[in-house]
Order: sequence, then C-alpha cells, then structure tokens
Amino acid sequence: MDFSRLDGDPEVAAFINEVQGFLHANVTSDLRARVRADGGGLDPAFQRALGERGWIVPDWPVEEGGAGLDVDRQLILDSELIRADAPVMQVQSARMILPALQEFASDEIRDPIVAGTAAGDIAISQGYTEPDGGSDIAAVRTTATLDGDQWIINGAKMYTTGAHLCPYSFLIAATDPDAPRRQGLTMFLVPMDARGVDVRPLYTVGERTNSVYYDDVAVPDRYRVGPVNEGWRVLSAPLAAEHGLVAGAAGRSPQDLSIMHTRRLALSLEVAMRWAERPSASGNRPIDNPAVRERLAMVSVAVEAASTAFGLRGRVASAQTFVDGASALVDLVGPASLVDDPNQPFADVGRWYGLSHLATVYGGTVEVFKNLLARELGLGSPRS
Amino acid sequence: MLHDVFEFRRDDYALSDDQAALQASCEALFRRSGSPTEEITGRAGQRLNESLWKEALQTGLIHMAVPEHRGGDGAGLVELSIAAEALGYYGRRIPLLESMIAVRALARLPDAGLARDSLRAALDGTELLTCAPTQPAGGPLVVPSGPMATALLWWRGDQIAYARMQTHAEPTAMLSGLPIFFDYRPREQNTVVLGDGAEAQQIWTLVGRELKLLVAAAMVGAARRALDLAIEFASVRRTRGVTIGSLQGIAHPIVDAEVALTTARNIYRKAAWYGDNEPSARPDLPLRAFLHAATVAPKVAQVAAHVHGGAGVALESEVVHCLLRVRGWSVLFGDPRQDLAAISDHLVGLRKEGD
Repeated sequence: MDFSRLDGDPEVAAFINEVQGFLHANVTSDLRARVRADGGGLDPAFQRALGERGWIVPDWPVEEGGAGLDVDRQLILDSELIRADAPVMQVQSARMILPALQEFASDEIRDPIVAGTAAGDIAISQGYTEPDGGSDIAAVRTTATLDGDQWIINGAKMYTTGAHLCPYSFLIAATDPDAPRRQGLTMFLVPMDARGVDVRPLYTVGERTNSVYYDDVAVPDRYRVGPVNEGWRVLSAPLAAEHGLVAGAAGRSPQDLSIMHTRRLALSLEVAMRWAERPSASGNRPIDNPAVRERLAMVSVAVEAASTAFGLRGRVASAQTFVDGASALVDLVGPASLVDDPNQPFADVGRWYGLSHLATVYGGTVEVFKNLLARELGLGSPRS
Repeated sequence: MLHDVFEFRRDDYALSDDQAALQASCEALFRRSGSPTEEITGRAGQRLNESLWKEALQTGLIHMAVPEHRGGDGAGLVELSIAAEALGYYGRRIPLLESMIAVRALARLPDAGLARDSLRAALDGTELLTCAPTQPAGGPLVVPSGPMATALLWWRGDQIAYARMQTHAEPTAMLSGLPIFFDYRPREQNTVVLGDGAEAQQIWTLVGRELKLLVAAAMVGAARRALDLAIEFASVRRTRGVTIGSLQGIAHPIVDAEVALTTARNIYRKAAWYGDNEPSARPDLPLRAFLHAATVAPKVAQVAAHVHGGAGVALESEVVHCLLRVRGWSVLFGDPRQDLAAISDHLVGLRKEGD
C-alpha cells in the first residue's frame, strides 16, 4: 500500500514541469475549439507534437519512438493530458493497436506505419463494431475475400471514431464466414483513401464518430495483420487494453480508461464549484447553501471512491459514477450547464454530462464488463 | 487544487506481505472461534465471546493498537482496519474496534494516573474498554459493545471522561444484533476526567475519525460476507435448468455490489494509509471512507439478501444478520450523511488554498 507523493523526487518534479509547460504551450483555447468543433478527438499538429517527445507510446524505448517513461511518469503524463482537456482519443487508440501491429503486421508495412504512428504522423481508427453486432465484436458480418494478391472488403462498421481524420482503420473482417464463432476472422489495416470507403458522420451527445461503409474495397495482402483466420488472436491484446485488463505496476495501467472517466468528472465538479461560488443576482452564493455544499461533497466522494477501482472494476465503477455524478452536477447548475456554447462559463458541466454517456459504451457496454466480472466471480456465463 | 485525483501520488492499494499475513491470521482466528449458528439462534446474545477475546489479546490484536513506547506493538491504522474487516466478516462478539480505539486514545494522554493504569489493565486483559462516539444531538450515550465492557471513554462537553460500566445496566435489544447500550448515562460517582482543553479535543477528534474508519472496514467485511453467501447461493440454486447466477438479472446486481464494495474497501485503506503516514494531509478521508461504506455496504448486503429470495428475509439465514449488522454500524454515529458538511468544508477549503 503506497500513496506517497511522486513530486518529491526532483527528477519527477522536473518531468511534471515539462509536461505542464508542454500542455500550456500546445493545448490552446484555439486547439480546444477546433477539436470540439470537429468532434473527432484528434488534432494532427498536437498528435505530432506528442509524437516528437515520444509521448504517444511513452513506455516504449526512445530508439523505437517512445520516451522510455516508467509507469509513474506515464500516469502523470496521462493525468495531465486529461486535466488539460487535450485531444487524446487517437493517442489511446494508437497505444492499443501499436503492439499488435508490431507483432503481427507484415514486414512491408510494419516499420513505416509503426514508426509513423509513434511519431504522430499517422493515426489509426478502430473498425470493430458493426450495425448488427453492438458490443459483440465477434459477430462480424463484414467480409474480406481474397482475390489474387488483394482482399475485397464489403460491409459496414459503426462508431469508428476518427475515421474521417485517420489514414488507416484497424479492421476486423470475416474471412471464413462458415467457421465457428471467433474463428474465420482476420485483421486488416485498411487505407481509408481506398476506393469504396465511405465515411459518414455520426454525431453523438459528446463527440463525432462515424459510420464507415466498405463497398468492394480492394486492400493489398500486405495490409493484412496476422495470419488469415486468426484475427481474434491478433485483436485480443488491443481489446484487453481497451477493457482495462492490462495490469500495470501496482495494479494500475496507464492504459486504464477508467482514469479518464473519473478525472473528467472531477473536472466537471471543478466547474460546478466555480458556479457555486459565483454570487447570483440577489447576491447569494449557492456554495453558502448547505444543501448545495453537501451535494457537491457527495459527487466528490463518489469521484474519489470510483478512482480507487482498476481494470474491469474500474471500467464499471468509473462509467457509472461519471453518468450519475455528471447528471447530479447538471441538476445543481441548472440550465446554465446545458448552454451549447463553449464560451459560456459553465457549459463544460453539460459537455461532460454528454460525454459521460459515452463512457458506458466505450469499448463495449458496461454490461460486457459485468459479464466478464460475473465469470471471474464464478457465476458462469450470464444469459440474457 | 480541487481534488486529489489530480495529485501526483502513487496509487497502490495492495497489502504488504506482513499485512496479508495479519489478514490471514485474523481471518483464521475469527473463523474458528464461533459459528453463524450461534449468531442466528441468538445464543451468543450480547455476551462477550470470552475465549476469543482471550485469544485476541494473546495474539496481540489490542497491543498492536498502542505505540511501542506505551507498551504496545505500534501497528498502524492499516493493520487495525485489516483486523476490523475480518471481524466484520465473521461478526464475532468481541469489542475489538472500540477497544483498539480506546487504548489508542489512552496512549495519547499523558503517561500517568488512571490513563496509564487503565491502558495497562486493557493490555493485560483485566479491563475491557469501549468508547462512545459523540452523538450529534448530545444527550445520553450510545455505547457500542457496552454490554461487554468494564469501562468506557466518552466526551463530556470538553473533557475526555472515563467511567466504570454499571454492571446492572441492561443491554438494549437491537434489530441489528449489535451488542449496545442505547441511552446510557454514566454515573457521576463512577466518572474520572482524563483530559481536557485543546489537547483532549484533538485526541477525541482522532477517536471519532479512527473509530469511523474501523467501522467502515467492519461494514465492508460484513457486506463482503453477505456477498460471498449470495455468490455461493447463486452458483448452486437452479431455475429452468441453469444456475440463477448465470442469469444477468442476478449476476449484474451481484457484480455491481462487488465493484462498489471494492471501492469501499479501497477508500478505507487509503484513509488508513494517510492516517498512518500523512495524518494532516487528508483529515476528511476517514469521513469519506465511513460515508461511502455506510452508503455502499447496506446496499450490497440488501442485494445479497435479495438474491436468496425468501430465505434472504428469514432470521434463520446468516445473510440477514450480515445485513442487519451493517445497518447497525452505518447509523452508529447518527445519520451517516452528517459528515457531508465537514467534507464540503474541506472541499471548499482546498479551493481557497489553491487560489
């Protein structure tokens, strides 16, 4: 058990200063406005700036495009990225996918794409979910058929966030539709400028994502990632990372998405506190009302409690706490929280509220994680 | 800074090898020292489990609450809370939480007079101490483990007071089954003042916070026992050819409960660590730990009881007693939400510091 301060170490303190200075210089209000207007969670210039420092894959060795950071520094970096409200969607995506590319991509594409992604020059969206499959990633209807030395891909993917900005999509397709479930699947890195790729925006309560249609899209075999019909094996590591199943030092992995949810709720609480401290027209401050203070305190306790859970438990606790807490803060702040104008002082409470709903479906619904936990608890496979 | 989730700290909730060994030995001790049947049939009543108490003393569970320079083993709140969770899990009839906190309070008083004598007596087992949490409305005391204790510490206005327990006092029958004196009034002639003024106030503030921390741990233990029973039941009870635990309608509430309980355990561990290592950094944490456990643990136990169906409301089932035990602890200090004001004060104070 250890909750000791990290910033007592001068080297760590210097690193914190470096991160904060970088974010102060690079995450400008213009950048935030641009990213919000687009909604895709990616700013190419910022992605490159991160890549230059090796911070897209910060745990990788410097010579491989990373920064060689230990777990403590990785957690500091990620926490500060979230606090700065920096666009990190495609950073997270790259971290999940790159290890699989490194292990399974063909010799012809591996080095340039892995190096380019680590450098921030390339971003890769995730083409997993399908219209009829939902969280059941293995229920793949998109097909890839070998035709000479290329694959012909047909089908549709949903919620491919960043597809309109990323040059590649890491896509799962059925290559043997008659094979048993999870067999007969193959992973591809699909160039999004290929003929037949149609990206259509899908606006959600918090961000823009995409529906992507693949109509006879020809992909050279060199873009196949891993052996034919072994896509589930290739995808298992990225999915485990997305589900929070990758253990880090002392249980917490820097890839743990639950960190993002609880910190975002903390940011919303911060805005709500500012609202509560501002005098109304009558001169009264909400914060002086004990009922308001206590409700803020309840959210604060919920944030702190959910922050203690890791992995699958963290995914469940943080998503549910984010939804409940963000909603409670909308109740408190009232209509001022729901003004759809980023220049309004309390609009972020509404923005985080919108995004909170995505937290319960990112990388699978929380019910998927509950099913996995039920199995872990010895309850067997839940049935619907 | 508004909230410590953005502080640069390690985030490690795992027990050390020594702490894990303590946990295992506490669980082994409590497991073999009674049976759920005793609890369920009420045979244990409000009486002390004397053989267990003797063994608890011999194994050093009270000694560890006292610093080495006052004759104890000098363990921290982390270790005490580990023991408290194990006690909560098995629900044994010993005043462990209250005694550990009372001896810590005595050890913080000057090493003289009755405070010294009482501490020695508590450590050698001739005195059995409890302490009464301050009631928000004042008035008569609620004395947890009062029916077992020989002496009591409580806060009298601005004094730490000590009193011999009245042997004729009748325990109050509580739905929770917790041995308790409700509406207890120590006799003036039995009372001695051990400390007063600012120092005493400081000591008593710690008594309140630390007792809340241990009760939070005990609630987590009792709720965990209820949940284990529910998982066991759901894994064997069948309907329509499948175990009920394989149905999402049963499995998901159990998972939600388990996740919530994990957060309750982690936050009390964090509070205990801060108490041991940086006591002035987060004085709000024991209050948060108690509030969260008092919110979560009764819900977890309720879900666990519900999973048992009709058996979950029958007084002959152990899970009901876990539920009632948790509920009793959750209101031991009055309304569990009464600390929200103090937590919000801390929150507002943090913002002022950051300005």
